Amino acid sequence: MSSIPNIEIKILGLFEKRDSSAIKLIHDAYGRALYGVIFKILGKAEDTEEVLQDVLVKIWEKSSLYDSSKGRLYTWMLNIARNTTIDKTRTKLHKQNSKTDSQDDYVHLDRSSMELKPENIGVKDLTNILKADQKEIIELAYFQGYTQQEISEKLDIPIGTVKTKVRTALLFLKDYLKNEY
Amino acid sequence: MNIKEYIESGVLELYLLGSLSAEEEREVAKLLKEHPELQKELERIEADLISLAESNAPESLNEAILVGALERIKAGAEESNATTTVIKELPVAGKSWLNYALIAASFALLLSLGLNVKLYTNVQEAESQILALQNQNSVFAEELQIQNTNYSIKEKQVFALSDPNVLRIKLNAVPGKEGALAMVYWNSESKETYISVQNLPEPPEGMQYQLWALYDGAPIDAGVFDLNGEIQENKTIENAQAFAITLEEAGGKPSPNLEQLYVYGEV
Repeated sequence: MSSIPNIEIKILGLFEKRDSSAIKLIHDAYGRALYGVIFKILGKAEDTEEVLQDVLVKIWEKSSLYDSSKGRLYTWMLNIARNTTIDKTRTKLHKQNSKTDSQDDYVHLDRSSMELKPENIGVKDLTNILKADQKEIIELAYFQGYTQQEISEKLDIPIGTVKTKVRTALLFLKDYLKNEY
Repeated sequence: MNIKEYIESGVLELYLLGSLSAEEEREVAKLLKEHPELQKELERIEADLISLAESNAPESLNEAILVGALERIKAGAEESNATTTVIKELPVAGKSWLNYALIAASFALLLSLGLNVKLYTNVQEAESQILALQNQNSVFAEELQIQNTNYSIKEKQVFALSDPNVLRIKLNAVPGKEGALAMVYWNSESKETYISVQNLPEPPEGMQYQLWALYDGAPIDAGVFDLNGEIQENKTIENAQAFAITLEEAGGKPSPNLEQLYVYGEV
């Protein structure tokens, strides 16, 4: 993964030249990760490809707004992917439930949509190797885009603990990846 | 700072996930520039995060995703040039057809120009309304600030005056100044002195009333005040046997002009 910075430099150079082949590089380097994020939020394969395409187009449309001094390219794209996907679920759920429910219910996604369904088979989902509390915190911080403040309030733990728990969970995954792959 | 502890706090993980507060985010961005080892760790964590997300994706993505995205990007770029190309690319299929098409296109263009003007005006109106509301809002905020200040002054006064050590001294008119009346509230412990004017004539231009404390026959300056109908705090007075008010040149005098004595009261 040490090649990531080089890819980033290339992508940023193409952004600057308004060259849309930047999107091909992003697709090749980060496409599967963004797919995984969208898939985790939707909780199913259906619509994931469509949303990923929307996300790639949005990344291109917003590319002039990215400022590398403020954060990593991946973080910036992750935000676009999360927001686009959550908007998508919200409009979809809203269409289905517009008669009975208010939109406020969908600020964060319903956990029941994360269930394992037949169309999801074939995906490894490494969060499953985590302990329940680690898994929950990763789901919130990574895939649902909660801020540390929101996680701290939701789980009723100090912000410092939120940070160390996320780190411990990811270190556990790192060790697992080292042994398995 | 201890880089190892900083890394172990987990702050880099939350930085990558975009979960930090804006302030912490700026701090991390700054430290990353100063410490290459932080940057290295950040890239390692990012790689792990990417692997974790990729574990939810198929081995290879459907090619149609990228092809479709690039087509949409291309179409989007063309759309922004569309207005100029539409008229140029009209097919030449007989003169009358072309004329109709040109007339129709001209109408469409005129209509669109008209709509643009209308939309632009609407936006301008909305902007000036927002500006007006913002101004109004800041006026309200200022007024509220003034009210709050007044309120806290009043609150402080009520608190100060309800102190059991406060002595109420009635200053009665001296001969020749009939009708003049004022109250002094003097706290014999904290030494705070307040004046409340019931009735004093409006002072002439360039003149102000001055409050005096008297102790062992000597006058002590307790400060000048204006007639604003409120209870006002004057200078603190250590010892007093009596209080008096004289009319003096604006700003006050070191010793009183007894010919201009208005009211007097003993403690």
